[in-house]
Amino acid sequence: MNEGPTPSPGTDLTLTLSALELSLLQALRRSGGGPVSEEELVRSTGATPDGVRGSLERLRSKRLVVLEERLEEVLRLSDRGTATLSRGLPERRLIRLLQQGPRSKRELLGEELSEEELAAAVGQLRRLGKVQPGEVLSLTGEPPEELPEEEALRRVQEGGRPGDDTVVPRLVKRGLLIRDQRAHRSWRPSPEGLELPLEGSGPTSLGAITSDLLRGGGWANARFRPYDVRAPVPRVQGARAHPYREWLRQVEEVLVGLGFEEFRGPLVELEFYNNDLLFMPQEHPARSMHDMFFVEGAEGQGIPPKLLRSVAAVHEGRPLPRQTQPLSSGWQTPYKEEVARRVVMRSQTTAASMRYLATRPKPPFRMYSIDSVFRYDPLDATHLIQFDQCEGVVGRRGLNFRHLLGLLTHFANALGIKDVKFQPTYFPFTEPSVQGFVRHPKLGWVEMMPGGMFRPEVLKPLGITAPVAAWGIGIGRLAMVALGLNDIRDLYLDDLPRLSTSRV
Amino acid sequence: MARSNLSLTRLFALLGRELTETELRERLFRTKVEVDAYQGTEVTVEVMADRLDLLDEGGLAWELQGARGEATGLPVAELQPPLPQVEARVNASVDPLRSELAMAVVVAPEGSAGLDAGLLEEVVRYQELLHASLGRGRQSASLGLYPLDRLRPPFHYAMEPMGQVRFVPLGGTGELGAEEFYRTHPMAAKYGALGHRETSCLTLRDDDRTVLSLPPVLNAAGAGEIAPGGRRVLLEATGTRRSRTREMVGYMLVPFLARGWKAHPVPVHGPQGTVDGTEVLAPRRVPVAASALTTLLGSRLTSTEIEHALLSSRLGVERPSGTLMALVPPWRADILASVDLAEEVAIARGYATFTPILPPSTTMGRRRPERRFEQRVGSVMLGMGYQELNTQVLLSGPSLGRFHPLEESLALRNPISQEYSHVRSVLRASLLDALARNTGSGYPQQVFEVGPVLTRDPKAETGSRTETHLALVDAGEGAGFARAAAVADRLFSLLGFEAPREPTEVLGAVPGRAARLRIAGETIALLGEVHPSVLGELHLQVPVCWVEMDLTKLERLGGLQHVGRDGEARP
Repeated sequence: MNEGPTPSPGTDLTLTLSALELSLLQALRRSGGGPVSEEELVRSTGATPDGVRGSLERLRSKRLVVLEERLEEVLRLSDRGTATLSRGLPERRLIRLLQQGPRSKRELLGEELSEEELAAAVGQLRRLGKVQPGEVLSLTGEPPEELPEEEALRRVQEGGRPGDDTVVPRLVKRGLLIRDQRAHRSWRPSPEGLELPLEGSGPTSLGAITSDLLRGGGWANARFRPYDVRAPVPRVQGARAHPYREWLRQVEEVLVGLGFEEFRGPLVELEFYNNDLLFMPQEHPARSMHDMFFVEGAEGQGIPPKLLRSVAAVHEGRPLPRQTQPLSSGWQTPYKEEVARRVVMRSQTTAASMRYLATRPKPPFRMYSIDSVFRYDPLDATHLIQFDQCEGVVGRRGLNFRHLLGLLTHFANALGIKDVKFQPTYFPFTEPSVQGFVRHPKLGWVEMMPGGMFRPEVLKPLGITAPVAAWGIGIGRLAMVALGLNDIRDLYLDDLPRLSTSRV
Repeated sequence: MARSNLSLTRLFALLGRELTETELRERLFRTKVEVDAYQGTEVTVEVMADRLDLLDEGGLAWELQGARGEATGLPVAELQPPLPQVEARVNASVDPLRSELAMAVVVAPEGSAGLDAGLLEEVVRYQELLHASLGRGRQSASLGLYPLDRLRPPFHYAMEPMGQVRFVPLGGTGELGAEEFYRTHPMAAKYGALGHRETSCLTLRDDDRTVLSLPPVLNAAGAGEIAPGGRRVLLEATGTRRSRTREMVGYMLVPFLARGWKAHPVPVHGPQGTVDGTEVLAPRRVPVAASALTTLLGSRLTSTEIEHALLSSRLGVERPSGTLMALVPPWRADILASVDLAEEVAIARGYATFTPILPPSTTMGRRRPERRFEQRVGSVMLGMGYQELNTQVLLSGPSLGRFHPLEESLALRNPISQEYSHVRSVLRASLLDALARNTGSGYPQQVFEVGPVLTRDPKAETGSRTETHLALVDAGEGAGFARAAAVADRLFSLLGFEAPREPTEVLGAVPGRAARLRIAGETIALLGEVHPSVLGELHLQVPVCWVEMDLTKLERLGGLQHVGRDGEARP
C-alpha cells in the first residue's frame, strides 16, 4: 500500500487543528492565559463534554495547552440523608409533637421517634435552647422555621453548599451527609499555544470530507488539514460468532471433509438408548443418582419390543431370538424393563450412536454428532455438568482396530494436534477399547479421545453385521487446548466485553 | 476407575526385582493401570473398572512378569482337592433374601510362617477395595475372611430369628444380641439392609454354632478375625447374585496365590442342590476365534503369536482337538467372550505396535439440513449486529419461571444445585440471565443464540421434545416492542416467510406489548417487551425486548427448501 510522504516535524501545526481544537485554543487565548474550567469551555464552544475533552487532550498531546487539576470537596446526601430530609429531621418531628403540648418521653416514643432519635433530637434542641429538659418535655419559645441542619441538607440537595459550614461535621457524623472529592479540571494555553499563529487556519483548512463538501466542490481550492495519524481513536465494538461455537463449526468442517454425516439425538433420553443398548449393566455405578440426572415425573415409552427382547437377552447372557448360543455370559442378572424406560438427561453422545445404528444404516457409513451431555460432576475449572462430546461412528466391512487408531490420529492432526498416543482402557460397550492422549504445550499428555470397536453384544441386537468403530471425544477439552483456555467454564463465556475482544 | 495405594516394597518383593519409576510408569501405560503418584515406598495407581485384580500387588506383579516375559501362562494351574469336611450348608430360610454363598479355602505353603503382617495388611486393604467396587458398597456382595484353624466345619448359612443370635462384633468387646446390633451398630445402619428382614437376620456359623459373621454387615470378633500366623483362611462371599459372589472370592484369591498359597474348593449344599466349589476356582474355557480376532485387530497374527500373547496376559492356553482355547482364571471376570481376548492380544503386543491406518472413504459427508438452516439464521443475526452466545440448557427455577410456567417444563429429580434444577423450555430465559451478568458492561447490548429447548410432551417417547429455537434480546435505551418487531420482520423476510403480528399475552412481557407470528395456524415466533418487574428481579435498569422463534417448526414449514445440500449451489 502506498502511504505517501510522512509529514516532517516542520509541518504547519496550525493545519493539524480541527475546528473545535481551534475554537478551544482561541477561547483559552482570549482568557489572557489564565486557567479556564472545562465546564466553561463546554459552554463557550457549545460542543459536547466528550468532544471538548477529546479535543483538549489532543491539544495537550500537541503541547499547545496545559491541564491544571485540583481536587475539591463536594458534599452529597447519603441514602439516609435523603430519607431523613423527606420525613423530617428527628428534632423537627419532636418540635411537631411538642407543639401539641408538653409530653413525657415515654409518650413520645413510638412510630414518629425511636429512642435513639429522641435522644439526638432532645440534645439538638437543648443546645439551641428550644426545649425544657426533664422527664416531661415542652418547647420554650417559638421554634425556628428552619433549623441550621435542615438548611444545610436542603442546600446540598439543591446542589449547593451549606450556608453554615459548622453543621457539616455533625451531619456527616450522623450519616446524613457524605464528603466526596471531585477533580476540577482547568486548562490554559502553553507558551507554544499562545504563540502559535492562528491566521490562515479555519474555513480553508478542511477537516472531515462531507457530502455537502463533495456536492459543493468547495474542496477543490482548499487545503486538507493533516490528521495526527498516531492519535487514539474510539474502539469499534461489534458482534461476532461465539469463539467456541465458531471452533466447533471448524471441527464439523473437518468431519464433513472426512465423509461423516451429521446426526442428532435427543438431549433427554431413555436409559435404554443411553445405557442398555450399550451393554452397560443395569446396576452399573455410572447409572446411579450420583452420576446421571433423572427427569422428574417423566416415563419413557415406545421402545421397539423386538429390540428390547434382544437387549434383555444379551444382558442376561441368553441367546438372541432365533439363535442357539449366547454372545457371551452377559451380566447374569435379571434385565428390568422399568429401568430401561427411565428418563435421564443424556450422559453420553454414544446414545445418539445407538439411535443412529437403530436406523440400520447400510455400510459403509460414517456418522458424527457434536452435542451436549450432562454429568453429575461438581463444577470446577475442568468439570461442568453440561459439556459437549464429539461422537463418531464408522462402519464398513473389514473395518478394524488399526482403522480406529488411524481415524483418531487423523482427526487430531486435522485439528492441528500432531502428537497422539494410545492406551488401553475400558468401556462396557467396546472391545478393544482405547484412550487417545494428545500433547498439550503446557499440560503435557492429556487424555481426551476415548474410543473402541463396538462389542457384538451392542451390534447384534441392532442387526448390524459390519464391524463398527466409535469414539466420544470430550470436544470441550480439545477446544481448551485449541483456544488456549485454562477454565472449561469459558466455553460458555457470556462476558460481553471479553467476547467482543477475544481473538478470532 | 478405582484407586489403589500399593506398597512398592511388597510389589518388588513379589516381582523379585526393583523397577525405576520411569520403568514402572512406561510399563503400566501399556496396561489398564495409570500411575497417579509415586512417593517413597508407595505408589498410587488408578485401575480400569474391569481389571480389579490389578488393584492388588499380587495381580500387578503377575501382569508385570507376563509383560516382561519373566513368567507366562496361568499363575496357578493346578486345582487342589477339597479339604476334609470343609463344606457349607445353606438353609432354605435364606431364600427370601435371595442371598447366594460362595467359598474357598487358602492354605499357606509348607514351611512358611503363614499369614504375615504384610499379607494381612494387603488382604484387608484389597478386601475393602473389592467391597467398594465390585461389591457396590456391600449392596451387591460382601466378603468375609475367617481363621479356619480355629473353626469347626461344616459351616451353616441361615436366616435365624434375631432373638437366637448373639455375638461379639469385630472390634467390639461385649456380646450383643442381633436385635440390638441391628438397632445400634453403625455398620448395621450402613450395610444392614440386605442382611435382615423384620425379626430375622442372616448368619454364618460353624458346626459348634459359633457365629462367624452376620452377612453382609460384620464379622464376629475371634471366629471372624484372621490374625498373623494363621495358615488356613476361609474366604466367603455372600450377595444377591451367584456370579458376583464367585467373582468376589475369585479376586480375593489373588493376594494369597501370588505368595504361593494354595486354593481349595468348598462344596456348598443348598436347597437347589450341591455345587462342588470348583466352579469358584477352576479356569473358564473361552474359545479363541483366531480368524475373527486377527480381522478385528487388522493384524496378520499367526496362531502361535496369538497363543504367546495370551500367555503373556497370564491366561492359560490349550488346544483340545486343535482348536485354540483360552483358560481364564477366576480373577479375570472381565473376559466374557472371544472378543475380549482380542483386546488381551492387543495389550500384550502393545497398542503402539498397531500402526494406525485410514480406512478407505467412500461416504459423502454432510451436515443435517436443519443445521445449515440454523447457521443461516445465525449469519443473519450476526449481520444485524447481535453477539452470539453459547449458554447452558440447565438453569434455575426462578430464571425459567419468569418466562414460562414451570409446570410445563422439565425439572431434574436430583439436581446438583438449585442453580441448575430445570431444563429450559424457552431460550430467552438463558439470554436474560446472561444480561443480568453483564450489567456493568455498558449498553446497548444485543445478543442471540440458536440452541435447544425442551418441552413436556406426554405422548413422546421420552415424555419431552427437543426443539431448536432462536432467541435474541436487545437491552438499552430504545429497546422496545418496535425494535423487536422490526428485527422479527427482517428475519422472516430474509428467510422467505410472511407472518403478520397478532396481539397476545406472554409471561414476563408487558401486557399489550407482546405479539405472536403464525404461519399456517402455528405460532412460530413470540416477541415482546420484558416487564419492569422482571427487569427488577434481574437488576437490569434498562429496557429489554426479545424475539423467540421456533426454528424446528419453521424448518418443517419449508425453511429447509432453501438450504440445499453441503457442496451444492444454493438459490
